[in-house]
Parts: sequence; C-alpha cells; structure tokens
Amino acid sequence: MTRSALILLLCALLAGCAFTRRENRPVWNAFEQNLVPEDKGWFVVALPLTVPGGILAIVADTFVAHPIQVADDAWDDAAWLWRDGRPDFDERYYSEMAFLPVRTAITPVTFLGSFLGRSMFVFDTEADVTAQREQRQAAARARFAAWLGAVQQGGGEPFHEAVPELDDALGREVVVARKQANALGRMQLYRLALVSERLRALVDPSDGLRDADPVVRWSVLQSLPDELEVAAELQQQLRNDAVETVRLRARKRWPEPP
Amino acid sequence: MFRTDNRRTLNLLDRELTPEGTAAKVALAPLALPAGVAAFATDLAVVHPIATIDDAWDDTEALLWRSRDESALRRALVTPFAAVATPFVFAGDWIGRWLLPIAAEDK
Repeated sequence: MTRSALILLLCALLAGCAFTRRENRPVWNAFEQNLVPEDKGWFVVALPLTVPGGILAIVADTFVAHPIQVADDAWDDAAWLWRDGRPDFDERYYSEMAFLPVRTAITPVTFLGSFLGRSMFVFDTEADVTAQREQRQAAARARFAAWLGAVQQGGGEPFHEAVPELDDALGREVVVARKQANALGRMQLYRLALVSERLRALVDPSDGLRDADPVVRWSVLQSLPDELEVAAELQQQLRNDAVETVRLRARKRWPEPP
Repeated sequence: MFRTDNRRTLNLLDRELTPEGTAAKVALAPLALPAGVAAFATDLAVVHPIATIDDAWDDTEALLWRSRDESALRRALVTPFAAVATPFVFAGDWIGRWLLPIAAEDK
C-alpha cells in the first residue's frame, strides 16, 4: 500500500514538471475557472469539496488529459525516423533494407519514450524556442541602444557584446552617436567597428585613423587587423603624424619602402 | 559501424547492385533484406575489423616506435617497455577502431 502510494506520488511529482506550463493542465484549468468559488466565504465553505476535486483534476491531467495532448507530438517524434529522406532506398537500397528491421523495431520504442518523456516533462516547442530567441535579440538590441545613447551623451565605456542586427532605427542611432560622441566614445565606436562587420557598414574604422584626437588614431592603429586595407595615402599621412607615438606605430606597421 | 565509410560491403552493394525503379526494388526486397543484413554482418565481423588492422598498427607504431628526436640511450631504455606495450596498445586501438565510429586514416 505504502509503495503504491509512493509510486503514485512520484508520478504526480514528475508530472508536476510538465505542470509548470498552464497549457499542460486543461482539467485543472477548467476546474479552477468553473468550480472554485471566487467569494472568500464560499471559497472556504467549499474547501472540503474543492480540495478532493482539485486532486482528482491533477490526477486526470497527469494520467489522461496531458498524455492525450502529447500523443501526437510523440508520434511526430517517432515518425522522424521515417521522413526527411529516411529511408533512402534510391541511394542506399541495401543499407536501408538491412536497417529496416531495426528502424521498425525502434519506432514504437521511440514513440513510447517520447510519449512518457513528454507526459512527464516540459519540452520547448519550436514556437517557445523562437520566442526565447526573439526575447534575447530584443534584449541585446536594447542593451546596444542604451550604449549608443550613453555614447551620444558623452559616455566612453566599451561595449563588450556582439553588435545586434542593425535595423533602420538603430542605424540612425549609430550615425547620431558617431556625430555626437566625444573622443572616448568615438574610440569605442571605431574599435567596435573593427571587430563587427555589421557596425563597419555604418562606421568606417579608417575614419578613426584620421580622427582629430591622436589617442583615437593610436588606439585604432593599435587594434587594426591585418586584413583591413588602409589607403597608401593614409599610411603615408600616419607615418608622418605630428604625434610621435602614432608616427612610430604607423612606421612599425607600414615600414617605409626602401 | 555507425559511419557509412566503415560499411564497405554494404556500400559496394548500394553502389553496384541497386535496382532501377520502384517495382524492381519492391520485387527484390525479400532478397535484398537478408542480403543487406548479411552484408552488414560481414562488414561488422570481417571486413571492417580487417580493414582497421593497418590503421591500428599505424597508431601503435606512431605512439610507441616512432622516434621524436630521442637520444639513443633514451630509445634503448624505452624499447623494452614499448615492446611489452605494443600488443596491448594495438589490441585496444584495433577494438576501438572496430567498434567505435572512428574514421579510417587517409592513405
């Protein structure tokens, strides 16, 4: 008796994992919406009925409703063994024939495993994954927009993340930041453009080599990747820069032709 | 055997004896299924183990017998240990290459 109760409790607890999603408990939702009184007094009075009713709803969800909900997904998982070019009798006739009994045998095993897993645990659907990705993209965009705003206001902190996709609005913010930034902000923008192709479409890092501030010129020169081509005229200009550190760095980078 | 490259007999059958057309494939199925299973068994038990012997030996030779700028004295000291270890390293490598999805070395 105790063992059976423990197994039942364990099943209910495991199913609880799937229960973290509201859409996975249809009987409980219907019970809660229709049979639990909203009035506080009636709520208390009805507790002797709603508590066992609620437990019954949970058991119904666990063993009947949610398993029915996931059966088609489990079937879809098992059917994966038989689609997307599998089995490929045109190219691998004998191989596929050899594996046919195995494929056939593991189909119900796959269905059962998927069915039990999906009944007990939460699986992200494609829509969930898309929603999470969009959420991450929106957060990354918001952080980059905030950084651009700070640069526009005179900030000069570096941005350590990947530059998000630049839509028109964000592109305009980049242009404004480029115009309004002080020397520190410009330095960070140019340095970021050196490592981000997306930003490079709007901010030309070689402009940093022409910047009025020698620290910006030196910093961009210092971080300039080998593959980035710099016009010969600009190279010559930097080799003759008025500031010695820039001049020396440029001469080391582009030695004078003999 | 999880790697297609390691199923030489099955690949040969697929390449050379696959019938044209769906009807022929269906008609041949009662023969093709046991033939495919037999080819797979042959690959698993005979062809692939034999085919991996040279790779296993190459691995063993590279690990134990190939000199890496060692002095003659060090080589002399190591040689007895290499001799003792050779069958174990070879057998381990051979079994690993036989049973695990490891690509054959390009010759």
